[in-house]
Amino acid sequence: MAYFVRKIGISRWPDGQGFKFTTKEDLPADTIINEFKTTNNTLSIWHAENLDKAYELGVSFVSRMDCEQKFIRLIAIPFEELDTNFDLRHSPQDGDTAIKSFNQYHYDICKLTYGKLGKLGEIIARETSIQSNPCIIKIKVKEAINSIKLLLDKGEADSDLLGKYVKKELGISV
Amino acid sequence: MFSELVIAGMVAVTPISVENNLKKYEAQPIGLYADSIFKKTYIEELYSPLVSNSYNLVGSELSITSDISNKNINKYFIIFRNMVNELTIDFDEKHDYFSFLSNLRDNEEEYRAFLYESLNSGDLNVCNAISIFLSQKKYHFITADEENFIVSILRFGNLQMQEFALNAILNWDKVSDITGLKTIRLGNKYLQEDLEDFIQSKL
Repeated sequence: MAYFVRKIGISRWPDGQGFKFTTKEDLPADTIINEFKTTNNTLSIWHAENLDKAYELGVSFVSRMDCEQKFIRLIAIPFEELDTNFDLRHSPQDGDTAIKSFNQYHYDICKLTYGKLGKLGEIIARETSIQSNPCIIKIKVKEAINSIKLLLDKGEADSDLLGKYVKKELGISV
Repeated sequence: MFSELVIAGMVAVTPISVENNLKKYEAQPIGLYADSIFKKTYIEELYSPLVSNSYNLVGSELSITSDISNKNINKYFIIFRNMVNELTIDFDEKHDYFSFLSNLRDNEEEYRAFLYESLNSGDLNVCNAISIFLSQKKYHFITADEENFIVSILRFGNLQMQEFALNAILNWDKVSDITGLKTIRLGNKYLQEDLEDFIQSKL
């Protein structure tokens, strides 16, 4: 099963326990503003053939990190959910991770409007509210950095594009 | 005559009603989350060596006042708050406030009072900025005051504050009171899982 993947700030979304999701009207403004920083009414998203590939994409997200963080979390949204509701464009040239081969999975959600952001928020909120949902993927940053090191050794990652924190961890001058 | 009466009535009534109306818009300092004797005692014990607090129970709410202004702490707090409020999330721009905190950290007494002031203000940007500072590897020698600051946010802060504070603690090599962490209940199950994994890894 294919997915679209995006990094999220997990505490901003309903967890199905303390913060329960009912409708998009209940999504906090901070969630919308901080999670959906659009440019030119587009938002980046990444295609993954399955959840294992989604996890690998997480490594590429870590590659750009500037700040020290223990974990990041991703959401994997079923392909059909976005394909049927949104205007998607394949845009590998706009993928900016340090792992070159992963940029081919980059897409843009285009022509976003207030209503469409609400719809996207609704989809994510529904997923984060599900208990033990495998589509919420936790990436251990330290492990991801070890993988990046291997990719650098193989020449599959570009050290110039690494985030400052990752460079520091790998002993590369900032 | 009629209008004079109305105006006179307004003069008599307005100050009270406006004051009451405005009260609900006041920022809630983190101290106000402390709505039980246990929490009051907890905060009091944390900072009592330096800061003399007076607690005023107003209805069911607890407010904390302190006499630390004579130590320039309030000035430091305002400078720091202005500094972080101008920031975006870009790492480079954090340099200034990291330096500010590093310098302040050299004076244990003032630093402790500054942490208290920041905590009691409940200012989201200030508290999160300090948490980011304390999550950096080069500050891994964490003092008892810093640990108290982070643990207090985990206990009493809102969800956004808790996320930053949790990230700080997860990056530390050790925490003096692991057993105390077990009693913390965060407002988000994912964050709670991260905290529990951390506690488990340190036992």
